Amino acid sequence: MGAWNWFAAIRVAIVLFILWAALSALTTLIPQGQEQAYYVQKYGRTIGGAIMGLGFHHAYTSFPYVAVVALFLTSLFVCSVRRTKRAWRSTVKAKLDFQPGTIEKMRNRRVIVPGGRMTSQDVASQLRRLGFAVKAAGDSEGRQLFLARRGTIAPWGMAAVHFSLLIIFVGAFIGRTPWFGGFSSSLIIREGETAYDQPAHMAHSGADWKPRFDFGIRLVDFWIDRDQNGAIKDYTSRVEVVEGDKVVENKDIEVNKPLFYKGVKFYQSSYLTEGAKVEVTTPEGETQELLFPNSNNNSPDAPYVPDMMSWPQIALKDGTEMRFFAHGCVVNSEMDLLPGRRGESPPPGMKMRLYLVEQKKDATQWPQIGWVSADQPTDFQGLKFRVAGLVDATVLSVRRDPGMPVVWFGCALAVLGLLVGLYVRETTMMVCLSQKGNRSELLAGASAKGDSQAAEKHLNKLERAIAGGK
Amino acid sequence: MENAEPIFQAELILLVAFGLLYAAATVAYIALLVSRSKAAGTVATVFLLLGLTAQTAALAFRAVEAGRLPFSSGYEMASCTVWGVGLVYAVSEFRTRQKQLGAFVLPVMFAFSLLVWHWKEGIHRVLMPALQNPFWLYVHVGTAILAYGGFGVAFALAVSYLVISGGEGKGSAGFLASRLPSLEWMDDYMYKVVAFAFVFQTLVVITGAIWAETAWGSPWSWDPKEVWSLITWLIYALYLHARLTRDWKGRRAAWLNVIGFAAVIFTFVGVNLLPGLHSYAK
Repeated sequence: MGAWNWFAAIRVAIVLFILWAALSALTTLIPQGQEQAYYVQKYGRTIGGAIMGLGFHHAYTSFPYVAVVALFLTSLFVCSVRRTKRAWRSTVKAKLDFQPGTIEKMRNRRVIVPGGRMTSQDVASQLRRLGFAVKAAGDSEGRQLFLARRGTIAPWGMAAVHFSLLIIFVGAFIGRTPWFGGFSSSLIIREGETAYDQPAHMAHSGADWKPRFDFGIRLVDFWIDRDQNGAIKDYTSRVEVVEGDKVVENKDIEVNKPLFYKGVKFYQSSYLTEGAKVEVTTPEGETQELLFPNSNNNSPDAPYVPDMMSWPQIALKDGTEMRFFAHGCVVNSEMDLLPGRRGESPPPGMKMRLYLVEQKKDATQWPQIGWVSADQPTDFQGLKFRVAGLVDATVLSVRRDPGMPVVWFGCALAVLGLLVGLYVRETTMMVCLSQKGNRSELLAGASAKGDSQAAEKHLNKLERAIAGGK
Repeated sequence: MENAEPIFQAELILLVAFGLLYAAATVAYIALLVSRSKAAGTVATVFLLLGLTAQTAALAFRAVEAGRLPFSSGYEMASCTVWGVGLVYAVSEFRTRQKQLGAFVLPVMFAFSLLVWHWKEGIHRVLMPALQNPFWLYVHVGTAILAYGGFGVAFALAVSYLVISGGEGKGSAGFLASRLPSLEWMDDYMYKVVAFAFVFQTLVVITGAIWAETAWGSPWSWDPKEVWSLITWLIYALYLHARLTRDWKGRRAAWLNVIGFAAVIFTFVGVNLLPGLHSYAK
């Protein structure tokens, strides 16, 4: 029971509150997720090394932080159990077990002398009229003792708040661990493509992964809406949910408007310029598409830069394969700031310089096709080349969190518990009625948790009620 | 945030008006404290209410022009927070009939009004995508306004408590003690105001998590603003906890309120210096 009592101590709880707040404050000042060299350069070898050693470069999963939170939660659990026991004892098992001397020691007390004689029913009735639940008993000296209580739900409110915080953490744990089927990932889908929960589209760890959902998401279209000043208004991914061959749902996913399907949520997270498309028309009139991937797709704001190592190819009717290389792409630098929707292809002013790849020759000797634009086709060896536009890909955050309902329940319980615990005043009045000849005398004491003014107010009301009752 | 229009002339005039009225109210409350004159008290309340009216008009004007409540930039939030402190104090004064505390609350409001002036800017016609959720924007920020308003009043009470109790009845502390409500009353009222504000602070954290889950897919991202909201919550939870279980009162409790308000200020202003998801609130 030693550890139990230790965790139950208010002093320990106070220290843990302070530790958690102080550690949280400190960690917000340290940039997260950087390499060691960054911290050493910024803070010096000693402090930089300490940051890495303590794990504060990933502060919220570091041992010190997790340890403090774990201790706090343990203390919270112990306090929750104690509070519940106390609430039970005070509400259900409250006994009238005091002497007049107890009232003498109360801070808020007074002697009330009514105009005449009062019976114990009179006193009980007045107390009930003031909203108190009353227990009465006589003592060995012929006095009547009354235990009057109201707001006894308040301790339950505080117990609920304590438990609610534990429930929130349990919900968060359920959501974060894979044991309950929760996961969080990103899905990259190119326009026109259907993505599934497979390593090609979503991150999976381990060799024997299993799909976490059994449907596909097809990106029909992606666009950005801008206002007349070029400021981004919204990003939209028009998607279809595909099961087998059937489209089962359509949705425009925007920020604040995720798609929710079969327990999985898809959020608009970001976008990429995956590449640039060039249409090639053969002498026979057949059109094929070349996709030149973007080598600079780490940030949605990065401009398109052709990937030097990617040589898309076409196959001609006679079986010849031709590969092409893009060196240079000009996109109107203000293209992204044009009002209306970006995503309409091709962007005005876009052009690319293409070469025919001849692998037996040095790259500097590859024949140049020239600048290819959207306006006029460029002829080369009987083929016609035309820029078709940029290929966008949407990045969706994907999440299944079975713990969320638990978290929300905990939050609702916390608010309800606070409203009850803080706004309902638990008030106790102890009254001793003694008869002195033709007169009665009441010794009344009141206590209201954390609010001595409220206690005085109830005594005033009792005094007025007794005076008014005569 | 980029691309703000120039501030409207009408709003600028109202901004100056409420700033000056709060300054006048500050002077009047201090005069009340010194002279104990009923007339000074009446004048002070009138200036406070006129200032609140002017500020309400400024916020309403901006809301009508923008087509939404003014909750989406640092300037708008600062102005709403000053308004929140004023509202909570005005209601407190009406309920308790204690006007002298205005001498501590109004300087806080006036100081924040200077910050509002410094940050003033025109309307951002287009909100960034994450903010385009009117329901949660209004609920989350609305609860923050009430929470910070309450904590601001509690801070003023704490400062006055510390000044009086620190002087042991001598000098200016004794002078103030004879004019302000009793220390017990102030301690009690500080608890009540914090109890009011704490529920809203809890709602700030919860509604923020709900909104974050809708917008970003994660209810908690350890963003500095989120963490500092948690720190603020922890400090005031500690205050309430210690008061209700250990009967922590007096100077210790007052200092906790001062530290708590410092956390509120950092949540409001300081985190804008740190990178994070809430950086649009600069």
